[in-house]
Amino acid sequence: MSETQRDTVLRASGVTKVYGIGAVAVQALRGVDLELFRGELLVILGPSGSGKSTLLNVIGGLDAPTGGSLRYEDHELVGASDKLLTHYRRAHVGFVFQFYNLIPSLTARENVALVTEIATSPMSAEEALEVVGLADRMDHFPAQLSGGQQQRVAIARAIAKRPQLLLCDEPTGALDATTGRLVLEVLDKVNRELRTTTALITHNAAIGAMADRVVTIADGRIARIDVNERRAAPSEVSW
Amino acid sequence: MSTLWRKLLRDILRMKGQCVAIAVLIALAVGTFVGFASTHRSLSSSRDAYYSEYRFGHVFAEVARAPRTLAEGLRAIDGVESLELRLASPGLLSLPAFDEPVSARLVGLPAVGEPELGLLHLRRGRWPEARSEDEVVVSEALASAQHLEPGDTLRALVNGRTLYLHICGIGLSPEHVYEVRPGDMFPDNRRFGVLWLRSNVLEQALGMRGTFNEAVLRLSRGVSEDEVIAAVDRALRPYGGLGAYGHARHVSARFISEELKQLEAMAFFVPSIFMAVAAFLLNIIVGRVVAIQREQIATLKALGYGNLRIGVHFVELSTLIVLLGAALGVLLGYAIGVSMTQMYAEYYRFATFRYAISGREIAASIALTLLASIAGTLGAVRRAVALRPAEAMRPASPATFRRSLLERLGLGRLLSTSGRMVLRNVSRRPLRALSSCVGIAMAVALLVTGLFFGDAMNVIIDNQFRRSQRQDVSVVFNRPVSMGVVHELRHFPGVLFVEPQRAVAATLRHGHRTYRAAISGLVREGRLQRVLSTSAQLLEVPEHGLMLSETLAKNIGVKVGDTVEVELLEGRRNAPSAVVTAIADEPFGTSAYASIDTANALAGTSPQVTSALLQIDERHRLELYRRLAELPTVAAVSSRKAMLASFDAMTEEVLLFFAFILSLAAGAMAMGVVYNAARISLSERERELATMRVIGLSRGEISVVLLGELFTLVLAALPLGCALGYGLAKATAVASSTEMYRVPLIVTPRTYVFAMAVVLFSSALVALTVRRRLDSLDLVSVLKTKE
Repeated sequence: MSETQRDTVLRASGVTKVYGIGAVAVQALRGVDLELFRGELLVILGPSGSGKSTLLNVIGGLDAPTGGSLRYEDHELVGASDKLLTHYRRAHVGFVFQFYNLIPSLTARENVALVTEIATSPMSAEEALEVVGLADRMDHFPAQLSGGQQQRVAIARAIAKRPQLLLCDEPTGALDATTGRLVLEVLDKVNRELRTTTALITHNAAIGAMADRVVTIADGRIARIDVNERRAAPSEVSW
Repeated sequence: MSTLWRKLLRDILRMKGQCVAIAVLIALAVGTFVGFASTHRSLSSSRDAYYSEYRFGHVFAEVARAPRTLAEGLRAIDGVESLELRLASPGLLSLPAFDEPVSARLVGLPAVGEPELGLLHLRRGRWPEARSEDEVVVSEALASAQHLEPGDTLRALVNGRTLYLHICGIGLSPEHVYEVRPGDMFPDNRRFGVLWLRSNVLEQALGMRGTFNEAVLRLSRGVSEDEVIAAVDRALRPYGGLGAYGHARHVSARFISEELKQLEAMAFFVPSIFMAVAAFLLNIIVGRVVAIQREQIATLKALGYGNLRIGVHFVELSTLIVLLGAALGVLLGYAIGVSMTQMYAEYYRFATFRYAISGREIAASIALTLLASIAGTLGAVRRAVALRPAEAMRPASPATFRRSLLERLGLGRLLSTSGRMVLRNVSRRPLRALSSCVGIAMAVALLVTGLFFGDAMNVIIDNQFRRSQRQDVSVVFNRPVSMGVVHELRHFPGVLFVEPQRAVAATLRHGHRTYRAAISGLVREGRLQRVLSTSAQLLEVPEHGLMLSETLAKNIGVKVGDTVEVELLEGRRNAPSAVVTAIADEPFGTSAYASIDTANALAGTSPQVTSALLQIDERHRLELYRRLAELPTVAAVSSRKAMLASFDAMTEEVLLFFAFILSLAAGAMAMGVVYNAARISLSERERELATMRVIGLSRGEISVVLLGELFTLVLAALPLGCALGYGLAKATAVASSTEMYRVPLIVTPRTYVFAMAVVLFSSALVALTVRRRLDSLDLVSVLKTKE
């Protein structure tokens, strides 16, 4: 790993998350220590219920951790106000979900514009859609797009604000192999060209081959972290 | 409890806010229906019981002076079951603690015993002793307004003679349930009352020994009233009969039946609005439940539940909500009935006025609600039943959107992204948006229609008592007097100006249609009494011929240029004819006007007056009253100011109460519709709103999308509601216009503004609760599930 990659964007130390209280309490995260480095592509692997989604939600400011510390650059996110978390998401984080979560009443361009209208120095909606290869579908409504296309709109929407962090929760989970590879190619391209720190959750271990580092989570803890010598191209990923 | 029932109860608990909103609307519908219908029934049955128990007459006749020996002949008329002949006279009272003159109607009781018809109900005290010279029973309305008690003494001026009367009892009569001074619309119980005394007192005061001037008859069942009236007229004509009339034309009876008619209209009209909106909300909610439970329905079907059972399940859902509302509604209806009855009891005096709610009203309202519930849910249930299990298991296909009309017109660039979302959401479900809009508009319309009555009332009063009648004091004589009296009045203390009037009692005949009217002979271009149209235009009394009010003209089928016969009920009693030279578009009554000269010419007398309007110097008011009371020809003195004050007090109370209740109801209605629209949007769009929060939009920013949609609906509903309200006001104006008055269609800007403000305020309250819900949106769990 080069020196520039060593630049830490986000540092989680001893992060815990408990859902519910008393007898029904579920310990989703049991003390996670993790650093995200600028520009890296991180794949998080783990079986269902291992806590990987919870970790991503906590990192993205969607969920408040129960304990520990979570520092984004100079800001502590644990115990931060809703206003600060909203600002954090608005300015620094891009999300991509398994089910795309596009606004059905807005066209592709407008779904992206939703973000560019409120971000401080975004790229244009057209530019973002060009990055994901959908320049010719800008004025289509979600219902007029295929699943893969919808997911690429979601990626365009996530990167348009030029986020520090791009967080993807099973982005290929609802897609077939060919479409899924296409989406991975876009994510890989964004990571390389825009140098956006990208964390990607998947239960498909093969996707780990295209990452800089692969984090494996089990039972609310980080089980291991593997560093890849070489990032495989998305087209080489077997499904 | 079956498992499906348990599901049902939990579904209802989950949507409790929305269910309550619907239940409240149903409660309002049932409440107003039960309240109005039961008041209507209580009022009409109290009236009927009172009339039959206290032997209210069927036919009434007034005559100048007829010998009691006519009794035999009148009793012999075919169909007459009983007969009461009596003397009655107007009188002026002076009460110890009241400066103004009080007009009274004095009614003679038989010298011994009780009358045969129009029995008195004694509230306190006792009957006057047989042939008592000075004992009197006072009507309850006057007694309670003036705090009179048995044992008190009053001074009465009858036909120029002063009587000192001792109150021996307080009572009421079925002939004066609505105790109003002849010619007035509204009771003024401090300044008018009825007194009953032994007839020998009146015989002496009026100089009418052995005679009568009023006859009351009760008929056997199935007898033609018209034939009896004709026979009575024939018998009384030689003695100055003023024309007999049936109880439908009896003043007090007429006021009650008009009131009943309006109550009946209200009992149908107001609940229908609430019911329609409730049915519409049910339709939307059950529709949404079916949409959400698509997969559950499929699962139930896969498990072997039949279409019927599933259909019934959803009907049960709405029925449960509706029955809850109906139960609340019956309680509300009882409260409405009790308070309306209390209000009525102040203006309608019955011996016993008991309010009761009947099983029939409850059953009818529950049947109606069930009908509305089934009608409201049918569409959604059909959709639920029609789903094939395999199809239902798949998620519904994603919502399709397109650019809204505004954008297709090229105005899209003017809108923000949120604005576009709002517009597209509204235009994707135009029917639903429209019906929400109509629902909110109905709330505005309800208020406009209700408050319009106040507006109309104010206009009527303003026209009638401030612009049409401008006198300070009016003096009514007990018979036509010579013009000399007018000159005499000019020299009374404080009198600045006198305007004479000549009323001629007559039956107007056109072909076979007749109408008993008093032709008002007015001074042309008069200063104190003017005739105004419904739109407050000054109508000039024609120099020749008659001017009839539109209602009267319609009644006897005449138009300008037609000739009517004027069958005089006084003086020479011949029937000169007169040309109708004008028709007056008047808000009040069935009047006939002529110039004072024409009136005297028709009557065939030298110039005479029957009343005088005075403009006075207020400083001499009391002195003037004292002088007027000494004139033997004066039957009544009234002050316009006092009348206005008592009227204002009465209407203000009633209208304020009404406006308050109406605002609550309309507010609840608007809240119900807006709340449901909000909850449904929220449930459909939770995921998209959460996504927007996730990508960095603030709470305020996502609220704009949802609340913007509501706000758009409400904004669109406001003008629609005003227009609907105007239409409904027009319909009610027509429906509640009677022979006695026409309701002018005037809605003031204040009413519109108030109606819109109430609805906006209620919507804002809902917006606040929705906003709170949006603030607590659970971002993570919403995103985890798929659509």
